[in-house]
Amino acid sequence: MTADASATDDENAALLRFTNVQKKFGDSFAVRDFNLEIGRGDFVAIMGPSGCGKTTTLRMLAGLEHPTAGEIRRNGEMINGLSPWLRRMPLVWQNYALFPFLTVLENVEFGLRNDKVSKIDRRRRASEWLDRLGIGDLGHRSPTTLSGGQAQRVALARALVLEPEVLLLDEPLSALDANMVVRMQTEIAQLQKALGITFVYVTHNQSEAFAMANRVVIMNQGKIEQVGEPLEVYRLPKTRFVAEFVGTNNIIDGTIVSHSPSGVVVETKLGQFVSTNPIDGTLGEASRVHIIASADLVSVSQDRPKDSKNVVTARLIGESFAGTIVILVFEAAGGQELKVQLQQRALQDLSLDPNQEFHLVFEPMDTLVIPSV
Amino acid sequence: MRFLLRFYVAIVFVFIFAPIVVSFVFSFSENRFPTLPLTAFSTIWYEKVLAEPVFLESFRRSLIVASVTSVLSTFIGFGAAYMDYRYRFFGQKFYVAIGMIPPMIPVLILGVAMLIFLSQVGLSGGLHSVIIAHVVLCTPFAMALVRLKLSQMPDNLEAAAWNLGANEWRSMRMVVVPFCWPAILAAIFITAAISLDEFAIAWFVSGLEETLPVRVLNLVARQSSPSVNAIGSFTFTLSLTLVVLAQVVLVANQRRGEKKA
Repeated sequence: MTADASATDDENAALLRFTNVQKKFGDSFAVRDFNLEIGRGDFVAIMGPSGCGKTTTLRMLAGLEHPTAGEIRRNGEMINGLSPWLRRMPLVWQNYALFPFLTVLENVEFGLRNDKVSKIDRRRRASEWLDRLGIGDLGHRSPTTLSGGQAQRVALARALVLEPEVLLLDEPLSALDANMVVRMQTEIAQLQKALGITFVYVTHNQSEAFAMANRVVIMNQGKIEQVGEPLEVYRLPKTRFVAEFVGTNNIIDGTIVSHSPSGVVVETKLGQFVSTNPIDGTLGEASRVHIIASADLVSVSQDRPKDSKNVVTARLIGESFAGTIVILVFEAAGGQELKVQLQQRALQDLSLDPNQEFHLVFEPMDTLVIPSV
Repeated sequence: MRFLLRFYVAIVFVFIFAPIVVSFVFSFSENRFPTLPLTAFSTIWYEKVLAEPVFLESFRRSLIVASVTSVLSTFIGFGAAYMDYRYRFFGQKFYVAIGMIPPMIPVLILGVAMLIFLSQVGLSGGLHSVIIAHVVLCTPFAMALVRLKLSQMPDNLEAAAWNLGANEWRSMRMVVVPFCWPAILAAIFITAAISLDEFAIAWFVSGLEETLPVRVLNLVARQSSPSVNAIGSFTFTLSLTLVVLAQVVLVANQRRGEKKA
């Protein structure tokens, strides 16, 4: 009780705080060692491959799963075992979960009915939200007749009409087609800014997360790998998993040779690399490390540069076009695969023959060194 | 080949429905004996039945049994199906199998067993005995219909109701029951039809409180009266109506579901 009181008194108490949260199903951990603070007005995206525990985390927030250890607190108050209907943290479901036997308007009114809001009042508030989300004319329709984008808006209205402190979203855009996804991303991001409430958004899709969130949580095998602002996570991955999962990165194994004034020198089977950007400055000599270099920050040259450091000679083995961007795939010594991402226009200056040799240049600034685990 | 198949199907239907049609036709024949050619059209046998208090009384009993049975067995069947849907527990498959067994037991054996059991606990020989026995027989049908519907309920629909502030009872009332409503209605109609027609068990446990099918058999055991045709035609129409209603409810709902897909 005293612990509760002191936590509540703390003016800096986060809106939501996970402390050492763990969730086991049988013998396997769905979530473990989970520590996270979510502040008021944050747009947090929890991201990871399927089975990483992101949805379990969201379900624990909604009260649909209860942690097997650790604490979840809201405004300092422990909510580990609180029933879902007492939480007031509406969830926007992946499959929308609209009630098919009610009309769109009745769906939006559902939560207000549980609050015993008068009929006139709830009808007005529900209609306002439908209007605000641009589906005011669908009120009398059955949810079974709606398109995916319309159904998603109804689900949003149904949750937001409760004026919650926190909105939970579970892969809300995964069932929509590509154009609709971009539109809804913009709408959801604008909505969150306008409302100023906290969004906790679970997705396996990094472009969704990076487009909307101001904080990104990367999860793997039940644990948090990295938390940070989108650009920070994108540019400075702290673990090999994050480097592989986020963006397109080249990963080269190596060993630290020395710390020199010009940077950290790393010996790899592709030669020596100098990095002026080691993530963890305490790494000693002889530490096993990974060199991480984002594919869009590596440059390609046909002539051998003077300096032999940070240059890898590699054979072009393939290319893939993705609109204005092209990813070139090279093979270096020992079968090491390297990727370089270029603008379509930059490609025109290079004459590309398969199996031709190129020199890839890694800038010391853009070459990260992270510990190998 | 196609012709043969059609012919075969037609023959099957003829064999199934001919006796019923014959009974229907002769119930409107003036002649006391079912002979061809038909003599004059008449509703005399229906009038006779209506004038016979014993028939009306047994019909009234059948209606009471059918209505109470249908509501009770649908209620229990819904509960059993929901338990199977919502919870995971030890022996779950066994539980479902046990629940499905009563209609597979020959009715004679079920009737005798019911008679012995009910007299042991002092509940035999009354209308309530028939109701108890019929609930046992009908509940699996209700359970099967509701289970099927629950299996079509979208994931998270109930959780979505909790999430919007409805506790478990309220979610049951506002989401689970409305979603299953077509199946619940169908279950009520089907179980009512089964109970209305059921003879063997009722014969064993009803004692002096004869239901309509028991009354009819007692009548034809002694003599053959065209009144039986009249009763038969009437109850057949009633049962058929109930079954058709159940079908209409289910099919109409399925159509709605398909439109969504």
